[in-house]
Amino acid sequence: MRLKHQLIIISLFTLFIPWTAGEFMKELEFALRQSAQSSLLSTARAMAQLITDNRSDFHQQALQDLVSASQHYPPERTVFQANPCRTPMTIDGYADEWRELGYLEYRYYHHLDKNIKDRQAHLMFCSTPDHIYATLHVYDDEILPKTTTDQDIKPYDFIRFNTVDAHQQSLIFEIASNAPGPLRIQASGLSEPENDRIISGFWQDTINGYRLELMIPKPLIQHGFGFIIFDADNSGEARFGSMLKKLPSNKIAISEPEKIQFSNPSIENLIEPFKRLRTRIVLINREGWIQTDTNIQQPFLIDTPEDPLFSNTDSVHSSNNAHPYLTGFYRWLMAESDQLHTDNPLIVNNQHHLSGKIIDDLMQGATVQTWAPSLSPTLFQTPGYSQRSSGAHIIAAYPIIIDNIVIGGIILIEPHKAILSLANQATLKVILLSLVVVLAILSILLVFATFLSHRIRQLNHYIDRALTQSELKPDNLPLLSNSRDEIGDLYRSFGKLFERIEQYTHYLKLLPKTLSHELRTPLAIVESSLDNLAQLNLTEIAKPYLQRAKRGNDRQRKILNTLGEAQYLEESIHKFETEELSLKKICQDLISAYQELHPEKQFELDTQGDQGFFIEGSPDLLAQMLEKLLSNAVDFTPDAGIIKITLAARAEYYSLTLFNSGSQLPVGFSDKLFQSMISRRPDDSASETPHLGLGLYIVKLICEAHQASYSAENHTQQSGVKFAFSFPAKTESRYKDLPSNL
Amino acid sequence: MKRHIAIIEDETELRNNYREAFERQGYQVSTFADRTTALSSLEQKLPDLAIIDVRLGTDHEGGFEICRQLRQWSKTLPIIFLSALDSDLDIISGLRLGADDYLTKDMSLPHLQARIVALFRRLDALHESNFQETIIERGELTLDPNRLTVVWKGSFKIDSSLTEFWILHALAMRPGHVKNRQQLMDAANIVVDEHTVTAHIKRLRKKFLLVDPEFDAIETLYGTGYRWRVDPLDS
Repeated sequence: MRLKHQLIIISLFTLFIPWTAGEFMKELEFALRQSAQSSLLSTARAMAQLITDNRSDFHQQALQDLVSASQHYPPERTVFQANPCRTPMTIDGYADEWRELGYLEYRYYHHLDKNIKDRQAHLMFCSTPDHIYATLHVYDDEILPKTTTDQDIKPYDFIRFNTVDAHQQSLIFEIASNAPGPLRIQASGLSEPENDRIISGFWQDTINGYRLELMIPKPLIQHGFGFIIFDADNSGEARFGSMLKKLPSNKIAISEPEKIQFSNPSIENLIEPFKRLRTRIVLINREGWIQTDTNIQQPFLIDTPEDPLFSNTDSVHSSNNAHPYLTGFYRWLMAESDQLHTDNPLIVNNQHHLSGKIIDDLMQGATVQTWAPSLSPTLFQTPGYSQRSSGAHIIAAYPIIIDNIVIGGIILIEPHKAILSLANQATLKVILLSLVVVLAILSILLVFATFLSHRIRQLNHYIDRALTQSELKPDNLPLLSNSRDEIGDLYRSFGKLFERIEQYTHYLKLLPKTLSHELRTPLAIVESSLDNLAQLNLTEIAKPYLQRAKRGNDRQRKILNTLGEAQYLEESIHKFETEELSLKKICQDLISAYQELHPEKQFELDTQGDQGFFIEGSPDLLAQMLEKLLSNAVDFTPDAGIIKITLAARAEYYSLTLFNSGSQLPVGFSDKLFQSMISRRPDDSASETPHLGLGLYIVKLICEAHQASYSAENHTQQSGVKFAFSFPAKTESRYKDLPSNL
Repeated sequence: MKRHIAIIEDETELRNNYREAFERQGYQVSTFADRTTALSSLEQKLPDLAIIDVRLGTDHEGGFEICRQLRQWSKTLPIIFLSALDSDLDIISGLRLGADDYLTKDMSLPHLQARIVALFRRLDALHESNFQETIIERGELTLDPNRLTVVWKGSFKIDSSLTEFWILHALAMRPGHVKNRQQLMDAANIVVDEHTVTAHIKRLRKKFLLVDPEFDAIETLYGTGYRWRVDPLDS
């Protein structure tokens, strides 16, 4: 793997930065929430303490109410909440005062299609000490009044109420209207009117239906209230129960009266001192029924998934205006903390009943502190804080215990706007910033890595070049030589190394010459002494020794000559005088000379055309070079093998190739072949003439002196080696009029 | 009277070897180890022949200096350079200073002695005129082995060194016949490596070309040797 790629991979670890930031945010969030939860729990504890410690009669009554209220009522049933009326009510069929004062509004849809606008009904309650006021707005495209003139009973629109009175007696009231106006309705089935059993009201037609405003004596509906709307259309067919109150049973049984929860001022007073703006205080009894709630206008929403038609979910969905992708990303980032709350701690069964783990714990007498992300399906709405996506809610619950019996609990819900609330923006910022930082770091690393690897490459190149060059000349590389880091040091060390090697090589090159010079004198002393000795009258016994000494001396001299040869040649090459010469003539001479010397081998000369292949140079040197090549070729060519010189004219130069059949060059050898002291001959110490691997080095020197290129390679088709040279051609020749076979 | 040979050589043992060999042959030998003593002594009395080592101890060019001085004192004194330096450059500068021959130290003693004999003979021939060997004429070339003189085209006298003379002699004896370097070295009694022959041939050619720009009688046969070109007129 290249250095750059390694660095890129390593730099990917910078991605831990945003991850760490996320983790940090989570931790911070957790800590802040923890402290908020504790403080909220403290508040809850204080409240519970105050509630239980206050021994005034009023409080005792309230606590008694709390215990007795809504006992054993099935939690799946709806409870209507009747809050105290805020203004004196006028029964006139107009809903102005209702709307403005923001009573709890119950909405009903057509049981088949809630999108049908003209099949809706809205119901609101409020209570005074003696009466319950209710308004029911029914959407109906066509109102069919009850006509009593005919004998035949025609279908007409009416509403049937059923109530359970203070004596647990069921009563039915049917309300139909001939025309808008005040109404007085008696319970059906009663033979004589009773004033305290009459519902008075007002029928008012509206643009899209009609509205009923009712005043009901409280005892009449003390224990239950239900209604059915009958909508008869023009076809004359009565549609029974076309508007239905949505209940789990979802049937006509809706006429089953619902419990009406009256606001109990005494219970409400229990929490009255603790009302604060942003904290929702919910007091429940031990069954989980909500006894009082500081945020009555925005009740808990039921979010049971099997009840999609339930009313207020509309507004809930529309209020979720966060970017889905961002939210998703955020959730993914905060996955860990979110995951804890996939199980809802607080389940809203209906608007007035809670269950779930919090309630269970609470009724065991335990305190609870937890939180729920606003993104969770359960929505806790608090005053001034209704946006679903804007944060979390922290929840603290404390049981109300009297005489070691849990009689209820207080639940505080507070929006927690700390970090999670900012998270969507902040996270995005943090993520973007981290990405920018990471990208910047990545690119800086990349640039640095590129620069670094460039320098290392340069160093490598420098070493390579120094190794391949015949002379080690340290180049001054500004990127390396000026730098004070390790790579610069390495460069300088290599420079020193090459300098040493250069000195050493220089010494080695001079060594043969020096040696041959220095040894020549002692050799001459030996030689002359031996000669002197020979001129004396030696005995026959002594003579062979003299002969041997002379032979040995001769051999030494030959070795010396060979040693010095390259050096002499280098010197003579540097100062040779150029003249015009014919490559063809030299080749011809040499080929015939070698053919004569080695008749067992096949020498060939292939010259294309009649030209003489004139170049500028030293004929002796070139002859010497070709001799080296030929004798080299002779050594490696088996008997009857071919040695062939081919001369060819190219555009600007003459190419000379020498092929010899026989063994091939070892792999990778062709580059080194022309270097000094490189020999591919088998070690042959018995040889008379020493092989110092100078032959092809001399060839290279001569080629360079003639600006000729040289190469050696294995022949592709035949087994053998091909040496190729190209000499710059001399265009004009003073011999051009001479016959080519000089 | 004994011929007087001066040997200027810094190596004592070599000097003694030469002296003893030459004395055995009947020469009077005086030996010197450095330039100053040699010149001060030789100035008194010139020898009949001087054998000079080029490098005299630390005096690297001392031999050349002595040669230059001796040549000033005598035009005819035979001078032989004997040196361990055997590059073309050394040979050429030696010969340019007017030395009659330039020999390397690995030249064998008998060969050296033969050279000396030949030089003395040429010296004698300059004074006397008894032709012991036939003069060789090859076309335009006339060689006198007695006087060691070379004449080209009847009028141009080629001033050759002893080695050059014998190389030329060997070539011209058998025109058209190729002589390889070894043969030429044997003929000239030189024992150096072959490229010295090339240097001598080159020098010879130059000398001829100096007097006759058309000269091309010495032909190179690459890989084999050299031959005296057969003159079409001569054959």
